[in-house]
Amino acid sequence: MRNFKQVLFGIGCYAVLNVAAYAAESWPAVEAKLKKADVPAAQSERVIAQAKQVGADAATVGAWADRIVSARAQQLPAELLTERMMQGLVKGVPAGRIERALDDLQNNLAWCKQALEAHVAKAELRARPQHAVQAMRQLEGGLRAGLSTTHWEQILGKTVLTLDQLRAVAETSTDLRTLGAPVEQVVVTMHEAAKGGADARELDKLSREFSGGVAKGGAAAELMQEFRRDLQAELRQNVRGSEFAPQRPDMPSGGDMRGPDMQPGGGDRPGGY
Amino acid sequence: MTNRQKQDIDEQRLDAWLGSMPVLPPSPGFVDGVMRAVRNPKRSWHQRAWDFCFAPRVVRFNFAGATMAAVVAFASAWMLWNASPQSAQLAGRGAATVTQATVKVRFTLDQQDARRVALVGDFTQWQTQIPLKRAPDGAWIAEIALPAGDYEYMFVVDQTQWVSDPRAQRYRADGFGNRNAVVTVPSV
Repeated sequence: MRNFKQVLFGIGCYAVLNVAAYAAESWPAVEAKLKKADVPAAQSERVIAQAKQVGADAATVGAWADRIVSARAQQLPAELLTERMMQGLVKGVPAGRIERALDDLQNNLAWCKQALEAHVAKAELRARPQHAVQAMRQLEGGLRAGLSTTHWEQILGKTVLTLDQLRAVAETSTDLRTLGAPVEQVVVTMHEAAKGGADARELDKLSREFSGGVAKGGAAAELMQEFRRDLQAELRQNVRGSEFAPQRPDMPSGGDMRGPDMQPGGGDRPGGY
Repeated sequence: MTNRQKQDIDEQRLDAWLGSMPVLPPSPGFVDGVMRAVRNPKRSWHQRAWDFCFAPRVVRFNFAGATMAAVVAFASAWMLWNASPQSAQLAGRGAATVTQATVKVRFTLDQQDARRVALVGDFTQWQTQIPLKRAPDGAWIAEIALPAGDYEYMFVVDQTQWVSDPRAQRYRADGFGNRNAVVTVPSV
């Protein structure tokens, strides 16, 4: 009986503390959290002003700010969370939905970071942080478009890519999926593109042809087959071209952006991702 | 008789009693024993360090000196904060944006019945609305300079209606059940 009373007392204290913490959350505290997450002062002022305008309370926005701080601690591009939060606020999205979107975004970005570290050389990630964020944006856009992490693992396989290659593969895969191409076809075709070291211009050209075909009312599955045929032809041409081009282990040959494992005899990275 | 007088009498009696006592010499070794007990033993360095740190001290100060010390401490902390790597990084980020090469991008929306159209997107962190101008043919147009990259955006018609650009190069789900238009700015 005495233990029961103690437990009850503990629960009561916990509840009171929680209520007190919730009540104590204020706009200056939210501002301090945003500052901790490196959000520029002007931006956090606008976020708070917008939140007040749509009637969001400090405790709710404080919880979102906590998520941004936690994303920063995970070394994720927290500015993307701030943007998503702001986007939700200006579009008048309900608070619960913004909460879920931020949750999804943080999880997605954590996965994207791992994918980048697994498929791009560390030196390039260090040297081109802004491009790394762009590539993460593309991968995250793909996850939002319905390509799951499993699909991305199948697309990227064990390849080692440059940031530009990875961004191009991610962008094209997402475009194809958004335009209605069947997932299985996207996965198989884009894995070939990644493995074959297709460059951004080739993929962009093929993607435009695909979207043009869809705009004219073509069936996505058939257009996808056409895309794959054209891609394979381009990749064969690249292989033939690279046989005569001077080889450098650190540089794609003849404008082609193929990574180290794409060089003749390179193959997939052993024991990789 | 007052208490004071009683106390004086007691003291006189005590003096008389003490004077009647025989004067005895101390036993051999008594003086040495007392001196040994009161002599300060040699203390180890960590005991001295402990005392140095934790022995209570009296600090004397005046108001002018304390105010001056507080001002110096505050100014030092402010200067350290401004010279921190975090601030330097933020300043650098802004500078990079200013010097980066940009490309003028034209956004167009053919919405004849609209009274006001604005553009919002990644390029303004979804914060500032860029107003579009009505062209003679009735279309709404804005031109903005952007650095290379992909940008998600939407139009806001009459401050209430969110519209995806029907002529966009591509689209992305916005995470809230709608889709944003995407514009790709090539590097120059």
